[in-house]
Formats: sequence, structure tokens, C-alpha cells
Amino acid sequence: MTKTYKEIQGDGGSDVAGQIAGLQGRLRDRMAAVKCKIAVMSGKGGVGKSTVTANLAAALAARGAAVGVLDADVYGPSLAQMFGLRGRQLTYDSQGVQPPVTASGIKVMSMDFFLADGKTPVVWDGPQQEAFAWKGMLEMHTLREFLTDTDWGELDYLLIDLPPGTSQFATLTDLLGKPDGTVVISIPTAVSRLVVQRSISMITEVLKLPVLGVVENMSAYYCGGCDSERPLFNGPEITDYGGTPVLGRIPFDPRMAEASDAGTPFVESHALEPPAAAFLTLATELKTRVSPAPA
Amino acid sequence: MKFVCIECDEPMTFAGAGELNEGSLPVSFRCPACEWGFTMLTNPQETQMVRSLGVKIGGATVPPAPMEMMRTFLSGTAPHPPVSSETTTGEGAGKCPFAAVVKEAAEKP
Repeated sequence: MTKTYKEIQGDGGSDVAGQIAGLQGRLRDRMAAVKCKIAVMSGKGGVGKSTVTANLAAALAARGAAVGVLDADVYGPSLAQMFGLRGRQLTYDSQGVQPPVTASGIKVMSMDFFLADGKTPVVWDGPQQEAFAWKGMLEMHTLREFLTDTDWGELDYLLIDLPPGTSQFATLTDLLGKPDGTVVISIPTAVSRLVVQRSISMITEVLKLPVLGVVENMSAYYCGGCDSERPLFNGPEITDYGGTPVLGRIPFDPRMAEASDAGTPFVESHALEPPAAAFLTLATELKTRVSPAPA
Repeated sequence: MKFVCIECDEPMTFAGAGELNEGSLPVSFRCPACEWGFTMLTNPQETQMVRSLGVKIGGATVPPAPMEMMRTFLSGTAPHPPVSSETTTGEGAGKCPFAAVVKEAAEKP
């Protein structure tokens, strides 16, 4: 046999390379209308990424920005509930899937909208034996479809709420390239700071991408009854994570969880309370650091 | 993946495909010069991996419908209205990435 792979034109008619280039082109086209793509992530689970995302989105919207939120936690979607959008039926048209919109105008896409009910887990059809061989690929392309096929329209900010860990962040950057900003969520405990510091190192040293800063959630306990803050964890206040600045501190307020359960971001339901003010300050800080380019 | 006839050094051409069976699809190729042929039985995992890429073996005849790949693979999905006619999935874009190949084979005289 003398012919080599490259000498034979085409690939039998599939044009797989062309199809993949087409998928990438569609993603680029869609994202061209999004001025600032912000990844919200943490190496640590349970630190309140989704709560911060929902309230940061609400705070940005309150500051007049056009905001979209992508719940990239494919296996544990929560943002549809937090925005009071569970059960909304999606509509499809030639522009893509129309994302459900909150009363304050935030566009939301989540795996939750595709699941039959609150008990249905995310299960993929396919050969379950050695499923690791294809599940990662499927997860990446699900994220790609969420980004590409949602009719986001023109947005100032698209917040992408990632699941715990750094693997999905790496997937996101494979798809999008460098996000316009990455915000890392932590809580003031030694364990969280250790894990989060590692995830920051992963981003800055391995992936060579910048991190805007850290948001320390549950930085204190805010008592609505006596209008005061009290310590919640014993971690000392720090100003940075190995050089990555702390952008904001959000005190814990039990009403924040109640607001999430009720489907309205705390920033909207308790706009005058100090924890809401902390989110509004954070939104201002974010807008200062990552400002939508003028049209 | 490309196949070349050992005797003729010619690229093999698609000759037909059978039914998908437990994730494996028989796909036949023949040499256009000597007509020697063989059937490739696709590996279920590899077949799934190609499906997971969001591409279609045999080529995409129409643009994919919104969220097509994810909805195709997801069990227990919420009821959704059919996709509008502007974005309806083509016949060659069903659950199987080889559907376009099968369709082409079926349409051959």
C-alpha cells in the first residue's frame, strides 16, 4: 500500500472536520453579541456559587445591565429554582431556544428546563459499560449547545455558573477561549481557602488565564433582628488569595436561603438589607473591572 | 478513518449499512476497482463517542436543531413543543450518527 491518509481526499463523505468547524463558528457567532462572559467557579463545593451567581446577576440587572445566566452545573442544576423559573416550557424558533426570563429581565438557561420533573436525574442514553469514554465529550457538547443554541440576544453580562472543581472551567475555556472575567467563590475557612487557592493556581499557572478575584461568601452572620453582623467562621480576614484580590464579602443571612427557595434573588426581595447591599457593591466592583465595551 | 484496498491501492467507497444493533452498526465498503469488500462493525463506545461529538457520519444534510444533541441523549426529558419547521431536524439527523449513511444506502437504486 502506498497511499497515505493525507493523499486521500475527504473522509468518506462525513466531513467531520468541517462539521466541527461549523459548530465552533455558530458558537462564535452567538457569543459575539455577549459583551462580557464571566465564569463563576470554585474548587470547593458548598460555598454558595449559585446563590452568589443569582444575586450578582440580580445586582447587575439592578444596575441597568442586560444579564444572562447559564447554569453550567449539568448534573445539579439549581438556578431555575432560585430564579423562580422551574417548570417553564421552552420555546424554539429559528433563532434557537428562547431562554426563560425573570421579572427583572434576566435570561436563564439550565438543564432543569429539560428534565421531566423534580425527581428526574440527568441520565444519558448510551452504552453504560465504559461510559467514561464518551460522557466527558457529551458534557462538553452539552455546554456548547447551551451557549450556542440559546437565543441570548445582546447581553452586557453572561454569568456562567460552573459546578465545583476546575474541570468544567477548563472545558469552558476550550470552548470560549479566555473568559472576560473569572470570579472564584470561597468561604472564610482554612479548608475552603486551601481548595480555592489550588483552583486559582490551576487557572493562573496551568491554564495561564487571569482571575478577577475572589468573593468570600458567608463572611459573617447578619442578624436581621438586631441589624448587626457576627462572626460565622473563625477564619481571619484576608485581603487576597496568593495575590488574587478579594472582590467582595457577602454576609450570610438565613433569609437568603428562603429567598432562593422562593425563587426570587435576595437582592430583589430584600433590596434594602445589608447583604443585598454587599451584592450591589460587588456588582459595581465587577462593572469597574469588566465593563461592557461601548457599542 | 479511511480504508484503502491492499491490492489496488484505491480508497474504498461506502457500499451500504445494516441495522444498528446494541450500539453497533455494520457498515460495508467496496473497492471501486476490484470490488473486493468488507463490513466494519462499529464499536458501541466509539459509535457513542462520535454521536457525542455532535457530528453525523455520512455528513450533515441540514443544520442541527437547537440543543439537538443533548435532547437526543437525555432520558426523561420534559415535554417540549416540536421544533419549528425552520429548524426541524433532517431525516439524516436522528438518534444514530450513521443515519445519513443508512438513508443514503436506502435511497440507492
